[in-house]
Amino acid sequence: MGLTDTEIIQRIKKGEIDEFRLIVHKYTRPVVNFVRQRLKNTDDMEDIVQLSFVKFYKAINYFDTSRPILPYLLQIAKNELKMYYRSHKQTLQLDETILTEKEVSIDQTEDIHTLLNYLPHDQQKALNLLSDGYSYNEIAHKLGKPLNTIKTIIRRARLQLIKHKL
Amino acid sequence: MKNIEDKILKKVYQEETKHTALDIAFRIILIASFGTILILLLSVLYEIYLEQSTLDILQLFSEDKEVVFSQLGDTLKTLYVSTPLSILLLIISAGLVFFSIIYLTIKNFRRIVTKLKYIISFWLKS
Repeated sequence: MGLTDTEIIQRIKKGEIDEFRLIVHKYTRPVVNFVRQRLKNTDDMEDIVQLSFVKFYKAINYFDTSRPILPYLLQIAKNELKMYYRSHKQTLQLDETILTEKEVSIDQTEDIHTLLNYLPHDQQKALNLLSDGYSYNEIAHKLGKPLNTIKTIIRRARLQLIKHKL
Repeated sequence: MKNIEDKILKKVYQEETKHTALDIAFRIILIASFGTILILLLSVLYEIYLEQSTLDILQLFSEDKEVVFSQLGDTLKTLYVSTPLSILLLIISAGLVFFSIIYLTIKNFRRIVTKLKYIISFWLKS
C-alpha cells in the first residue's frame, strides 16, 4: 500500500529526502498543466514548475500536514507566474518631445483660458497657482484649505478640463 | 513528464546539498569556536587559581570521606569567592551555548546522517 501525503511529508521532515520523489511524481502533471494553461513558452514553463517544487520543498518543515498539497503547490506556481509576468512586463517607450512655450500656439493658450472660465472659482484659482509654479502645500497655505482638499480640487479641475476638451 | 521530474529532483537535491553542507559547516564552526573560548576561559581561571594558590584546598579530597563531606561546602564556597565574577559568568555563558549546540546537534544527528546518505547516493547515481 502506498504512503499518504502526510506520511511522506513526515518522513521527509525526518531526513528521508528521497521520499520527495513521490510528491514530484504525483503532482508534476497537474502543476505542469496549470502553468501551461497560462504560459506557452516551454522553457519558462519548466522553470516555473521547478521553482514551485523547490519552494515547496524549502517550506516543507513549516507545512501543515492537515492541508492538501496540491492547492498549496498551485498557489506557489501562481505566485511564481506573477513574478514571471512582472519581470517580463512589456514597457512602452514614451515620446520625449518637449514642448517649449514658444511652440504652444496662441490658439491653444486661448483655448485653455476659455476652458478655465468654465471651472468654478476655487478650481481656477488653484490651477492658476499651480501653473505659476506653487507646490500643493503652498497652494493649500495660500487658499487656507487642507492639503487633501487642494489635491481634490486640482484633480477635479483637471477632469473637468479633459471633459470639456473632448 | 519524466524529464521534468528528473530536473525538479536534481534542483531539489542541489538545494538540499547546499543547505546541508552549510548547516554542517555552521555547526562545526560554532562548536569549535565556543569550545575554544571555553578552553581559553578555563585555562585563564586555572592560572588565576595557581597564582592565588587556591588549588591547595583541593588536597581535601585526599582525606577520608567523612572529612571530605563535612568540609565540602566550605571548600566550594572558598573556590567561589576566589573566582573572579566576570570570568565565572563568561564560563557559564560559553558553556551553556556550547552544550546547547552539542545537544541540538546530537538531537538532529540522525536526521542529518539520513539526509547525507540520500544526498550521497543521489549524486553517485547521477
